[in-house]
Amino acid sequence: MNFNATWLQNYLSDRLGRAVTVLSLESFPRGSSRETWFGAYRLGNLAPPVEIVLRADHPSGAVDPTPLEQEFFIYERLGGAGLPVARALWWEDDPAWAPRPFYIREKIEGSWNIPHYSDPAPEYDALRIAVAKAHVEALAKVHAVDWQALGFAERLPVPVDATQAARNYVDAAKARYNARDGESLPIFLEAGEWLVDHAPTAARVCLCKGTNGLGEEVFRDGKVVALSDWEEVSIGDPASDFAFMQGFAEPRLRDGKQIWGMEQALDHYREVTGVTIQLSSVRYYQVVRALNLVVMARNSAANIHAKSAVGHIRQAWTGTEVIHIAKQVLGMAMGLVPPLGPERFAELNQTVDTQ
Amino acid sequence: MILPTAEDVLQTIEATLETVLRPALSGTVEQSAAVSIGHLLRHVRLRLAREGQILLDNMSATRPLLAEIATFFSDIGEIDAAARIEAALARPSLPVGTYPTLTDLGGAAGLLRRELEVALARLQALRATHGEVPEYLRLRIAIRTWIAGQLQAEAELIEPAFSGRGPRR
Repeated sequence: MNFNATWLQNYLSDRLGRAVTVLSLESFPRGSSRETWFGAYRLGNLAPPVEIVLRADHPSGAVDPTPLEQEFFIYERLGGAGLPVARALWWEDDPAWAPRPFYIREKIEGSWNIPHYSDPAPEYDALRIAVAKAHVEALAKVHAVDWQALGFAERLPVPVDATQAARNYVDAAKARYNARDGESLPIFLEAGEWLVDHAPTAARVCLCKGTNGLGEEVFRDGKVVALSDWEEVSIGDPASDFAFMQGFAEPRLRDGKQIWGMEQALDHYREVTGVTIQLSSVRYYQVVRALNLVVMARNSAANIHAKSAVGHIRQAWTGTEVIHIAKQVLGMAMGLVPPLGPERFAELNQTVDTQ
Repeated sequence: MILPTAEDVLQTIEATLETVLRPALSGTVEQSAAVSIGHLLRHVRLRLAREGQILLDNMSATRPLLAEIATFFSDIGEIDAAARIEAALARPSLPVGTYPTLTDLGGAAGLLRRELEVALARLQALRATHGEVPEYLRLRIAIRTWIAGQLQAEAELIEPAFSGRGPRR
């Protein structure tokens, strides 16, 4: 049994109790943590198409060691939180229907890409800054979510207070590391200790999105219409979301002056929320991010080792180059190896559809 | 030697992928997979050429470090931790009488690395009580030096294959 249009038509017809015509089901090429499929179906000949997103682990397993069901749980609960988040529709793990467990959520019209955002021409500076500010405002809304009322403490580790927020990230990473039998990495332990030694106190304890920014969210007309990819969601320090941010806090120089960057993003966040996040905390959580990346990449390597016959090529890459770079970041933070230039990190995000 | 060598064959596969197959691919998924394969083929070529020596060097660095840690554990009365390391060091790590494969070498180096990881966890747990002891501090520095060496050796298998070689996916 594989995910395909015929399979989806049978599944949805059974699930919805009426004949469904599936118009398409295509694998989304971006992202590599899990499989993402875009589909469309019609309930009747004259009914408008309904667009959906299907998420499942790769046949060899997900990059992210947290369970797929947790991702569904997050989407389901966030549906009532007033955030721009796609509505979770169905979770399925019945082997009679599921090649492997999956869930379906609604698809929000839009794209991960923002036209002209990456065009370096000065005429697009205003667009870049406006989009980045809008994203910071969206993060502020995430941070304001009442995560206790939504029951997130049932699934996510919660720090006892703001002084323990960073420690909570390290402990969670260690728990995921220890839960998977993989290659022994002494650097992981050494870095974990270093991070505990250098832990900042959080500006506040709140819901944090995890990976966010360009390539993670859905945009339409330059605005965030759906916050996606909640795999690394946490209860913790909002500084972590700035450290995990992609594409919206890179330094933008014009006439020798920095017109946008992390400093300006944090300033905007303070204007919106009244909360001050220290740049040093963001730098700290960039190291936490590398620690998490080591866990995920080591998980990928173990997946490929255990199921190479059905392994995903990107997991092989994640288990080789990505883990190496993540370890280098840990080594850099501890002063063990010389720093890598920013271009070395930028390379990792080069894709065939951005060339 | 069997000609063409395994490295020759891999290089030819990579060149064919680049010059014959990739130009014919139009879909993003297929193009993405092809560029990932190209990077990984270069990586495998490097591993065939260098990984064996890197693993031997790594084992040569890990064994004396573990022995020093075992001595420290023994000196401070951490008898079980010391005995575990001594047992690991006493076990034959590679097949006798047959040429070790890269998998054999990787497995042997991995077992030693596992012992180092367990020992480091124990050392970290002892930090509150022994963190000021000179030998403790020396061993912690030695482990950091070992980690730095590991990262540098690993870079030899990664950087030439990936860095500056175009999109990854």
